[in-house]
Parts: sequence; structure tokens; C-alpha cells
Amino acid sequence: MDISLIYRIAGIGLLISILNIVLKQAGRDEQAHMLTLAGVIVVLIAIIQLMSQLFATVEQVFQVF
Amino acid sequence: MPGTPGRSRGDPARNRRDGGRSGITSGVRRLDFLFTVIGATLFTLVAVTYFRREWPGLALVTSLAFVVLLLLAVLPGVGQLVHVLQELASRAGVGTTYLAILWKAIAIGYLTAFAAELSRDAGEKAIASGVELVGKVMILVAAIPIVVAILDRLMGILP
Repeated sequence: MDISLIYRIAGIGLLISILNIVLKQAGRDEQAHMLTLAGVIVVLIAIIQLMSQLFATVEQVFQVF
Repeated sequence: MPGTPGRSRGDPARNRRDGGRSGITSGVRRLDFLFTVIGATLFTLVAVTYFRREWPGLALVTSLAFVVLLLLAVLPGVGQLVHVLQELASRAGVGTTYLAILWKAIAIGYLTAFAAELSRDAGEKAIASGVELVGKVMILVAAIPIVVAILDRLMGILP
């Protein structure tokens, strides 16, 4: 089981939370909002590949074609 | 003896080298796998509880990633089970067509339960029940040949 992806997601989350706080303190709420959106999208892109792999494995394991 | 649990434990380079399916399958067999899963679960739990307060979207995505990783890690073990059951069924002379329908139903059930539980986790019960409904309908549609076969037998028995 390769859990480096979880570590990566947690790292991205922490980094963007901190940047978010900094941006909000600086009064740039719009950019903070965009940053959170971009973070979620980046993580989702990382996951999509994994999900297609999951579906392919399920098809292979249960021999559904 | 190569491949014994005692030998391969604590030697990740070797496990990575034989890679692929067999490596993960032996991983499911060893107790180290459970330790990894429990550790990763606790870590993810902490991260998700933090994110849920600060940033609910990322909490959802993190739990999604974790569940996908877990399923990917445990699926080779499921594959072994399926293989053994198929062998037993072929030894008992059960037709493989009906068994294939059973596997398909199980796969649909797992995947829809996965999606439905995640959406229920995010508080969207309507989406969850929608996905579950799709899964139920798909299982019923996949099971049509069995129903037809049962009805055929019944018609044969009846005078």
C-alpha cells in the first residue's frame, strides 16, 4: 500500500491553509478563495488517475468485461 | 525459503522488486499490511478532522483518496478469494455463467457502496440514495438471466 499520496495531499492542505491565512490577513480574500479552489482541483487531478486504476482493477478482479 | 513472511518483512526493496500483483497479494497476507493500514487510517483521520473544520472540500477529497488507496491495496486479496471460489465451483460443476453474474453483482455492490458512503459522509443523502438506486437496478438487470433460468425450470417442473 502506497500512502505517499495521502502525505502529499496532507502537505498540500497544510501549505494552502497557511497561505490562505496569510492572504486573508493581507486582505486578499478573492485570491485566497481561488487558492483553495486550485488546491482542491490539483488534488482531484491526482486522484482521478488512481480512480481509473481502481475501476480497471475491479473489472479485472471480478472478471467483468 | 524465499517468500516466507519472516524473510520478506522489513525488506521493502525486495517487496517492491517483485512488484505487481503477487507482491501486493503477499502484502495482504502479512500482518505488516494491517499495521500499515491502521497507521495510514489514523494519520488520515487526523488530517481529515483538521481539514473538515478548515476546508470541507479537501476533507472529502482526502477521504476519497484514502478509500481508493485502501481498495486498490486490498483488491488483489479479493482476487485470490474469487479465484479459489471459482475453482471450487468448477470442481462442483456449477456453471460459470451464473458465477460471472455473481461476481458482477458483487463488484457493482462494492463500487456503489463506496460512492454512496462517501456522498453520505459529505452530508448528501439524496446523491447517496441515487447512486444506490442505480446500483440496485444494475444488479437486477445483470441478474435477469438467473431469473429467466429459474422461471424456465419452474415451467418445466409444472405440468
